[in-house]
Amino acid sequence: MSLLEVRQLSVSFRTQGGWFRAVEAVNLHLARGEVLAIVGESGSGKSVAMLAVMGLLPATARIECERLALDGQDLLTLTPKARRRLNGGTMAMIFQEPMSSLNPCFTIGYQIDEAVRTHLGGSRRERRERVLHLLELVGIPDPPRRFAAYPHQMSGGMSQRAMIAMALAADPQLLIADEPTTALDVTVQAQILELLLRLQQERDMGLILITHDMGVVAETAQHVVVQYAGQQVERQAVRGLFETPLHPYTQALLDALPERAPPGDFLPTIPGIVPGLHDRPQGCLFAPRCSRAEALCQDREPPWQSAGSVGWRCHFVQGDPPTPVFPSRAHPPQGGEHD
Amino acid sequence: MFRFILHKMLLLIPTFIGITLAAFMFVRLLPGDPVTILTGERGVDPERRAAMMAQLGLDQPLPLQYLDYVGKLLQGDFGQSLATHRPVTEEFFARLPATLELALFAMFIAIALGVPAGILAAVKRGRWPDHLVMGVALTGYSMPIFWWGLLLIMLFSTGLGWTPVSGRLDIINYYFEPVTGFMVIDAWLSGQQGAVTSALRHLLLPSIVLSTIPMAVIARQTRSAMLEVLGEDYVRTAHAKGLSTGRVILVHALRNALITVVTVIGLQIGVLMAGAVLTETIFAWPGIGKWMIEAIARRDYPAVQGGLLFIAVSVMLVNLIVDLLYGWINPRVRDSR
Amino acid sequence: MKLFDSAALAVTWGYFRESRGGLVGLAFLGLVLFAVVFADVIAPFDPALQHRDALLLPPIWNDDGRWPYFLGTDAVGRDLLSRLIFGARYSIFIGMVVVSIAVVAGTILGLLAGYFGGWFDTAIMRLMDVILAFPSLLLALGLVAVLGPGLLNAMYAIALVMLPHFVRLTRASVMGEKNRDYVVASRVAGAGSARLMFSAILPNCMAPLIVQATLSFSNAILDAAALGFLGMGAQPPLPEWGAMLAEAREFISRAWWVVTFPGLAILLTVLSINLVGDALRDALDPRMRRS
Repeated sequence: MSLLEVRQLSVSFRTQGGWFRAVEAVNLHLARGEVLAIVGESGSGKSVAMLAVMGLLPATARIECERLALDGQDLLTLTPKARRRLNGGTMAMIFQEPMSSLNPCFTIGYQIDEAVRTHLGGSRRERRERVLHLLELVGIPDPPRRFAAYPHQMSGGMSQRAMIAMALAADPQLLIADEPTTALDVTVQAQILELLLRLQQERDMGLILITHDMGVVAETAQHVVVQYAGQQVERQAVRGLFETPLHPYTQALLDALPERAPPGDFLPTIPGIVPGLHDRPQGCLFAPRCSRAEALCQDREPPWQSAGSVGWRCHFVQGDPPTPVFPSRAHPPQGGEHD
Repeated sequence: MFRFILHKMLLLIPTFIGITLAAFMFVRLLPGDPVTILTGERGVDPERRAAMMAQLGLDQPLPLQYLDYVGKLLQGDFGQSLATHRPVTEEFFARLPATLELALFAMFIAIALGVPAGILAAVKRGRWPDHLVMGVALTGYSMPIFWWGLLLIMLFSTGLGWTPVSGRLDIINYYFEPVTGFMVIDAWLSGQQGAVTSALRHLLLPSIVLSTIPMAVIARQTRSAMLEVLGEDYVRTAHAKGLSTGRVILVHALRNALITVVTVIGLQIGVLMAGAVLTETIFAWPGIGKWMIEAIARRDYPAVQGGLLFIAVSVMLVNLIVDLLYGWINPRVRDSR
Repeated sequence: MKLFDSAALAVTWGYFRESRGGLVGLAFLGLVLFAVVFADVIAPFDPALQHRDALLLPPIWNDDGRWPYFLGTDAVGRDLLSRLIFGARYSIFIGMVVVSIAVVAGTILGLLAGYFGGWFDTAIMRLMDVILAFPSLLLALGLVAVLGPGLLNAMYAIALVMLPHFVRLTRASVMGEKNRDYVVASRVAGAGSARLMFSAILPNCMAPLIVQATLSFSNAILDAAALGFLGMGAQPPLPEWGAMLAEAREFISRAWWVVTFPGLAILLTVLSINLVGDALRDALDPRMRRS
């Protein structure tokens, strides 16, 4: 059953130098209880696309979309007021920097209570109980004391847990997590991810996880979308993605994983940088950095090729022409097991 | 917290000493004979002069004179006004309520209009409300307020007759004994019909004139504080939670912006005192400002010295209160030691 | 010693040009400066000349107005427009002198205080705190009371009142720059203190200094006019705008033009300076720059 349906979503920003296309023709399907990972470098438009879905972009952004539906309900025709009711209610989002995402002037209890009050209502005592319950759910010790704590009194991991509690306040069906662990310590990262997955499974929530870390993708996602310079370049189930990546960029990302590097050699990197406003290539956006690029790639924009639920944006099909860049291992890394 | 307060107060001591020193030096820097300056009596014969010098302590070495002066200050003795021969303290406090009433009304207007204007300008950034508010604010603090007052009198008092030209009350029709010194309160207490209205009508133009510069500054500062806050992550979170735009702006954003704005408001007290001098002169408002100008013109130096000292100390105290308030409002400062 | 580098100036001008308000302000200021320099040529009359047959005439667009008294005359028959034009000299002159004194003295004090630190720094900052404790106009009034009313004394008083702003600004900049690598490197290479302060550190403080100088310029004009109005600054019959307003007070019901135009002149001049100052601040602000 389709929870989130996004068809041909594009986002442009007006800048001094003209319109900048941050997101181009993005398509997403998310079923209930599914985990989707969106991977890409900075500047790939992965965050912007999700902010557009939530309706959190500033007025200077222009959004074009064929269809945007949550649980069957068309979001494009909703009034702003109705749209707001969905935010924090049926769909929720957590962000990358938990420390600055909480208002420093109010206690976290107050801020979570706000979410409860807006979407669920209830008496003061009922709301307080719910907040305490949420705090306990996300693993915050001594909830009554933390209720009255201010954000600056909490650590990064604790703040992110509080953010998650706030997002879950009204039992959302969809949770979007924009790089929730990037700003946290490595030790805490694993805890937060585990928490997110556990909550997702317990509540049968749809979870969209935005990340730049392929390791995280391997451990959490069922489906993966790869983005580059605002475009989607590949969409596959996770296992297939790691075994047979269909787009050269995905291949390069995988090859860059330390786990896959051949021993005793330099870690592979992808030469060049993501195109910005002024240097967008004519044809394929990845062509300047692609080892398999040919004249065709520089002239014409590649089409989106699909086969079933799998898709990729390239002129060629995997293995044609057959010139692999780095010796890639054929098996995906399992959690904890490395060569 | 207590330590925080104490720390702030201790920092003020050197400034306080400096101010008293400045006031002390003030009279001694004047050209001419100190006896004449301090007592206003001229052509005194040598014997009497010597006696007066001894009485005023002018034959002592300078440092001792200073200590003597500070000692008197701490006892509340600020000298005697040459014009009225009454203690300066008495003259000052007799006129203080008038200036306070004016300043309070002006501050109220400045905040009540300035803060919302700043918020509006920030929320509608780049569009015409923003340009309008900022244009008006810019004109406001480029304004010579003594001219602005004259202009308003010309328009509304002598021109349209809507407001009185000067004074605090229509004394022809109303009279009552002052109780608090605040005309509006005293008018209300007196129970006389229309007295309160008269007091308010007299207060209207002067308060508007006096509020002009603080209002402009507050509007500008509120705008820039709000703009900064509106770009913060926690505002995005508030939107993501599904809160109404009004709540996001007025609760989440404003609360943080107000932290800066409160400091600005406090700093305007000094501006108000300076503006009061000009406003009271134009509207013949019997407050401290007008008294100071008259004292200077009359060469009533003890009064000038005392008045300056009082005002400087009050401004210092207000700044201290604002500092403490800031520490209390901002939770991060509150907890740091 | 390069305080102003021509390439940086060109870039700054480029940004400045984008502000319409700044350009308008600059244009009006240009007009005022033109009036200041060429007052003798463009003013229709001598500002002190009293025309006995033209007392209290309204501006020429009014029925009772008379050519060539464009803006009318005052109670003793002096042409208002001419007085306004010559009055610009006093305001601009006061502003420039006051700001120059305050900038030079303030910058030197600030550099010394920030660079050498220690008890010297503390002493200077405490002194500045004392000055700042008094509301500016009141302190200026007090000083004028000591020194006696007059244009020159008013200028000294206002300059003193503005001093702390520049001292603080320079000191803060110096303390920020003092420990930066390029300063340490110069010091290691053997550069003396004076050289370091002026050639290395000072250029980096120029931007906020310029902005503060513009702000002080407009405040100086306002304060000088206020002192003139109160009878403590320029004395009649000098055609200083503030003093003209003081003379005009008794005519608010009879002759609106004697009250309106001098004040308008002050407002427009100060407004243009503030417009220029705002535009300058935006042009010099590194955060607003686009790479």
